[in-house]
Amino acid sequence: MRNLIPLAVRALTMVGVFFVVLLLLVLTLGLTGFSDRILSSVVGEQIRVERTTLAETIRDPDELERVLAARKAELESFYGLDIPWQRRLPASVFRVMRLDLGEARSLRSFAGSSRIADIVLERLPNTILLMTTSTVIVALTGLAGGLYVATRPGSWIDRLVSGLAAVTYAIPTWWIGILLILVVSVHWRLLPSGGMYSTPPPEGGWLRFADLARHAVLPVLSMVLVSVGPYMYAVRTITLNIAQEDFVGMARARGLSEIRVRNAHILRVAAPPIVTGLIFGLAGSLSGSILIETVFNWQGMGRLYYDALAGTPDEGVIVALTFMFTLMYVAIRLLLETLYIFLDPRVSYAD
Amino acid sequence: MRVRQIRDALLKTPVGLLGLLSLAAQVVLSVWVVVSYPDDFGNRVWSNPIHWVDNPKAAPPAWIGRVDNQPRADHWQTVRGEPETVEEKGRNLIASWNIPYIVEEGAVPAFLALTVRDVRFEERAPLLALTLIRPDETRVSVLRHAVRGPREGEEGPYERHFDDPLRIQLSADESTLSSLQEFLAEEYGLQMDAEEIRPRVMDILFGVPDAAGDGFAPMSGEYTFLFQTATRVEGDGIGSVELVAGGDAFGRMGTDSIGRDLAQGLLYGLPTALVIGVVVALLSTSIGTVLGMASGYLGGAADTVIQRLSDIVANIPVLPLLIFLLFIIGPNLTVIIGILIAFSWPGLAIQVRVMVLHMRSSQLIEAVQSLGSSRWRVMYRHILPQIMPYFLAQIIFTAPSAILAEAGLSFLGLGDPSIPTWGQILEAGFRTGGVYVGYWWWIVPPGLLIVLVASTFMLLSLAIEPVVNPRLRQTRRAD
Amino acid sequence: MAPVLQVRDLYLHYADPAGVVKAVDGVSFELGEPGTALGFVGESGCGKSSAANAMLRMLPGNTARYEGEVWLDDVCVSALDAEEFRRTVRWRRMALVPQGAQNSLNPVMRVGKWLTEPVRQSRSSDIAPDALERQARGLLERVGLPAGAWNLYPHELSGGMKQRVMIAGALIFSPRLLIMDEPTSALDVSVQAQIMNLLKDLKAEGLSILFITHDIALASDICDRLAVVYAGQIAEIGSSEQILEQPAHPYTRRLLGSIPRLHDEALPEFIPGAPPDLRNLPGGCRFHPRCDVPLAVCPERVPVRLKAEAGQDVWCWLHDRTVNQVPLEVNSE
Ligand SMILES: Nc1ncnc2c1ncn2[C@@H]1O[C@H](COP(=O)(O)OP(=O)(O)O)[C@@H](O)[C@H]1O
Ligand code: SF4
Ligand SMILES: [Mg+2]
Repeated sequence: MRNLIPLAVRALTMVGVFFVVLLLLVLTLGLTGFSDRILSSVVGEQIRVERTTLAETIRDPDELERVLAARKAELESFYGLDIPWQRRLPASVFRVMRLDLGEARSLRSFAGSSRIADIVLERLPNTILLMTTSTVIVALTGLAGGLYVATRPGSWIDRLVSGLAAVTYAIPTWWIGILLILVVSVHWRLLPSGGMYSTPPPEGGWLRFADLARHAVLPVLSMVLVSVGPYMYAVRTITLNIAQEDFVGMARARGLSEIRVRNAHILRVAAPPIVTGLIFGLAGSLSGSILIETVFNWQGMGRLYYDALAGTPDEGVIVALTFMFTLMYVAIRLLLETLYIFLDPRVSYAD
Repeated sequence: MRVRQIRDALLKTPVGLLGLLSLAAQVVLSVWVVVSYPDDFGNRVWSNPIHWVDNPKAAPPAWIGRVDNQPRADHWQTVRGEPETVEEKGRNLIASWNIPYIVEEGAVPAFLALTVRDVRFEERAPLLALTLIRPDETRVSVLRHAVRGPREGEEGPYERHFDDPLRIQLSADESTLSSLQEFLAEEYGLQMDAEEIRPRVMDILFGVPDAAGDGFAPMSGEYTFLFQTATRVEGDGIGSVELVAGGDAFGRMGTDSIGRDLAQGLLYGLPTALVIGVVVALLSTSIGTVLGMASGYLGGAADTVIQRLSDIVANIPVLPLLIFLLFIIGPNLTVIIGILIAFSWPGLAIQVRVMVLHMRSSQLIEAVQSLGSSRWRVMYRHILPQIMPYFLAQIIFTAPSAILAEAGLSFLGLGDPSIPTWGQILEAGFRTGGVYVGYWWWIVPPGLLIVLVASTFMLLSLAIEPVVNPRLRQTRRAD
Repeated sequence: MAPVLQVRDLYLHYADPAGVVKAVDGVSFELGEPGTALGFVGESGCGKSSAANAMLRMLPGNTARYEGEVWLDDVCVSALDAEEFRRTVRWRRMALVPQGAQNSLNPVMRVGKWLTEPVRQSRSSDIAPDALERQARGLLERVGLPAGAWNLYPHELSGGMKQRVMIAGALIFSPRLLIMDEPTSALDVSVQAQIMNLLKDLKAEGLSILFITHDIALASDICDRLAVVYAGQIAEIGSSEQILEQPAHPYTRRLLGSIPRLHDEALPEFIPGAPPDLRNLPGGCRFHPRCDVPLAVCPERVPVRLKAEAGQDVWCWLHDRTVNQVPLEVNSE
């Protein structure tokens, strides 16, 4: 019960973020005329479908054109193309939310569909796979490493981690990816330089999985290399600060074992700020994964951005992707905030 | 915490000093670049393929030869004006240029190109000829070319190739192929057809058939290019002749796949990166500070609005939105900087507000206020100085993120094409597949430079961290 | 019967970039019968907390020298190994409530859980969970907290309530000795009085207390005996009456002079001179640069333990009749 109010406040903020982004998308699209173009493509798609079906019943070409023109006018008024874009705003917001954005120009889904929703949604699992894998690895190694160096402040390894954190903060994730390709794939020929599966993909569940894992090594490694330093440093600093708190000394004075002191009095108290660290890093790892997918041709939503920007740009796909990434961000964010609120009893008063 | 402490942290710690020195060096270099580079370098020079035709393509830096000791031809380029000799031969005037060229052991050049400029004639178009005299005294006629004669309705004197130089890529020229065919048959009795010759023009020009009979061994030594023009009347002739023997290596930093001198692009990226970092940092922190102070000091509705806004903007996932907006508005550096500013201020606004609230309730401020100082005066005289250190720290912290953000956007292909940046150089290297064929000189330096500039700011923030976050200083071991 | 607590030649030095900090430098004392309280008083920074930590072997990483004997009821606990000391002495027989009780509760642990944690974690105790809870709730009531406090988090408690929780926690194993380090320094006066009354009650029930404070008046309120600490060493030890009525050490007199008294027109005196730097101590008697009646020997020789009265010992040459009582000539420069 106690947690419900702060949780609701956070949820409201995130919903606010979500709608502000949506509105920004739709407003920009409307102001620049992109909204009309997207709708026209939706109408065009529908007319094309109807033409093929109607052509079977209506033999006279003039008659067919007339029927189609009438149908087109009907559709345009249905989609509101005959009224100014401002009045379509709510409908547009709703359309973006359903990913009802018509067809892509040149991009196709793996199955060959040109519906934007198909193209984008099909790639969501791949993005989630890459992001989750690297986040879990970063979280675990960062936690373990950070706790370890926290027991040795001032040692060479501690200074190494601090230095590493500062340096990796200054390194673009995607550049590390490119370097890894250059060295590991091109020079040593050890691992594939991109894609998710070999061509042709191996048959059989295990072989296929092993192939996927092989392809995931470099992208995951790049993301881990860049984020683990700062995360380790954050964990180290948080635990060091907490280890100096009076209640930790008190726990020792109360005859608790070192293990108990560490787990129940240092780690448990460090958990909320560590989650906060994850929250702060979230936007960064989202950007990192967009760029890393691009570098390694990982068939996720991030790589789709690159493909949609290259050649003839696919504005509908870009809108859909921006929406999906915002949605994903808001969802993960809310998950972490919930976790935080349940970890830290002080929140209910603070907020 | 005082501004003075920050100054001391920067000036009196090795880390701070290193950061400052590195920043100073970068600023000096940037100023030099800005002053010495042509205006509109991006459009007129960098993105203009014509400008780079004579450079070798995708060549590693010249110093690489000293590292791996492989024979590599240096890039060689020479321009001549007045001819060395002019003699009368029948009805013609023959002007000659002797241009020596040395081939080091095994270092056959990658390509050969001839450029002739400013051809002028009264009636008959000049004939151009290039002959290669090789160390073994054999002569290869590389080129015979007639400049285009008068067109219908055209009046003399005629001018040719004033704006569009006559450039002939000899290593791929059809007439060169047939001359070589003749040369091989006469000199060595070798019968080869044009398609066999085409891929090995340079090997044939600068080599002799090897013992096995299926290849050509490079012949080192002193070569001479004999360039000649045949004209009819005094005053006809060419303005200049240029010869390029493409190297296997080029300049300090090598070239990319269209022959751009990477050293130039890399240097040009420095002022751009600094401007992006500093402008975004300065403006976004200023906005953050002003809004935070207003929020904390005014309270009420203004406070609520500013805080809600900061909360929302701070929580927007920036990259997807940046991609979207840049895509819609168009890639333009000002827009990139503007959007980065628009999304970077909220953190500080929230932090400053908390500090202002804290200070406002302090006794000093209350006392000053009760003495009748105006709100704004109190803000300016008493609150601002206390916020100053955080302001500075935030500037140092924001700059590298802005630089990295621009690089990432450029890498996705959203960079401003009129202003080359390191991210764009990397993007070109990636998109054209330079990575996959191991063109490290195209990939490593721009990334390193990004890291260098960004980590300069990181060094500075590392130096001032103990001042901003004093708890970290006294990390004592407890067990 | 052996005294409850005996400390012999306790040393705790820290390594510091500027030198060795001699925070506890040869301290010996005893706390006699059960149900008595000994006060440890001295300016802040003189090593009181360090002495308490040394007794419980709570040593920081930069400890440079640590030795001495601590006896509890005839058992030399300082001879136990670290693990056994932790499992049998800390909190069980000797409970230390450290300075800074305001932050001594784990912020994410409820009071009830915090109270019972040492028992639940203890391998040797086999008390049933509900019996333990009953006992702990009884203790909460004993220290004057409402039953509802059981489920609260520290941030939901006031300063005084936190201190009561600490005391209740310290009683969970019914220890022989309770060490209270500055138990009231962060509390306002009325709450301070309540806590003092609680401690007095506990003392009356037979608990021995080592009461650490910089406030000699507060100490005399509860303590039967007082030890005055100066620069890592005991300057004087005796019954509270002796120390207050007939202080034998010039430092004690100064300390008493600095207490503001009710109905007293005179302003409190301040002790002249800077408090000693434990990294860089003067030779001889450590107090001599600030002493108002130093003898010629004082800068030369370290005072030994001398009897001032029955039950009152002092470390000051003024009380050694065998030493030449020539005053130190103060240099006119
Ligand atoms: N871990 C440590 N390292 C170095 N010096 C310390 C350490 N802990 C305490 N000190 C110093 O030892 C002296 C005594 O401290 P403390 O025992 O806390 O005094 P008190 O409790 O009487 O105020 C102080 O000068 C303090 O600064
Ligand atoms: S020993 Fe000497 S200096 Fe020390 S307190 Fe006694 S008289 Fe003063
Ligand atoms: Mg103390």
